[in-house]
Amino acid sequence: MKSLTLRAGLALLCASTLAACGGGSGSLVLQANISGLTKDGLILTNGPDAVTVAANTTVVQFPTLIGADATYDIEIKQQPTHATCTLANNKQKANAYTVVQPQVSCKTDSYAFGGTITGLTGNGLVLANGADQVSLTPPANPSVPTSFLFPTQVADGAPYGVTVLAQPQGQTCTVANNVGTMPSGAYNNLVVTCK
Amino acid sequence: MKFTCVRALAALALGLALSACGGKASYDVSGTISGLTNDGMILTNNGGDDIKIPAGATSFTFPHRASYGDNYDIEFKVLADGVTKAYPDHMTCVIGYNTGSAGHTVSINAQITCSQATHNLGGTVTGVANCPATTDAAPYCLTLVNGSTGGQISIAKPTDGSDSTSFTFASQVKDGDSYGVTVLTQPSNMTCTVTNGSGVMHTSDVGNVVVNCVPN
Repeated sequence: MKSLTLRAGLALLCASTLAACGGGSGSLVLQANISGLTKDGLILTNGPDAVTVAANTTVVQFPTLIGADATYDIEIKQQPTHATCTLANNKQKANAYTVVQPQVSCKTDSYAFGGTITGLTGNGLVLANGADQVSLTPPANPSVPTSFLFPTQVADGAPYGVTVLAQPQGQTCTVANNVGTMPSGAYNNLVVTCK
Repeated sequence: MKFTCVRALAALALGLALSACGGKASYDVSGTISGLTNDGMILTNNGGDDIKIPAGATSFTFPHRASYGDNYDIEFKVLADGVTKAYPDHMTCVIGYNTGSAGHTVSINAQITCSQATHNLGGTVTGVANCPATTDAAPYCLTLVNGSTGGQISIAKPTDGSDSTSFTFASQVKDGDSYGVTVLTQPSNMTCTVTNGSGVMHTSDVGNVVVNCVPN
């Protein structure tokens, strides 16, 4: 009698647990964490289920719920414009207790950043774009504009602001076209003039 | 005869094994380190047994071992002023699993994590009492940036009618990194220029960046 009650209770528990988990109909939200997304255009899919992800999104949920123990496979249908995203933990079995969040890591494309310098005859000039620095030495022919690049590229859409961190010996340099927003391509319009 | 020989050997082996244990167990007082890129860190155990840890080290072990039951307390050495800790140059570190009783865990393995120290970058903006009336669409007078990765800050018109306001970038600057503050967006009717805008961050906050705005 006692064991019969226990069995019935267990069966009831099993049934209610299954119902709660939704069986095949799906009751779990499938979501992914997103980092570094600064551009529009990303489309993620899980089978036929697709979701468009806007710039600066950090968490995305798929519209269709999935069932416990259902497998999912998140893929990138379309990369954002001027950025590239990669996936981690994107193919798993859904389980309410041992969830490893799918992760989408995005990196905005970056481009060469520099310009030309004219008139530099002294040593010691250092330009800074914030923490990024470039040291420039006098070229063979200072009167001819000479190209230079910062060692670190700048991300599409990021601001830039170039300052003179250290002036060369005996000269003063100024930078024109030194502030703005990075275009979708190389920027070579910094104009440094030293006198 | 054969059995006796085996027994004798077994007894000898047991004796050797026991002597190897030395009677009382002792433990290396050691740990692991991550992110250590500069020299200067000094560690102590129970206030002594100093060891200098060089840049790039990923582990450490004190010269003296701890016997079973000894307390250990691994800390950053406190310098002569009684306050300053011997962190690596330009860095701050945190330590965990650093105190206890030897033998309480299988091994003593403190964990140290270091990162480059950072400081605030800021200053004052003057001449903004007459910047254009703020609107929901453009509620700021001007926007300052610190290069491409140092963050930006928008300066609102002071609500109390004053002509100057102070600012601090949300992103701190790493000790030893350069900074360069420029005006990304100017007020429509003014031109703002920056002085003391560029330098190298050292061991304390920088608050002397001056942005002065004058009507066009």
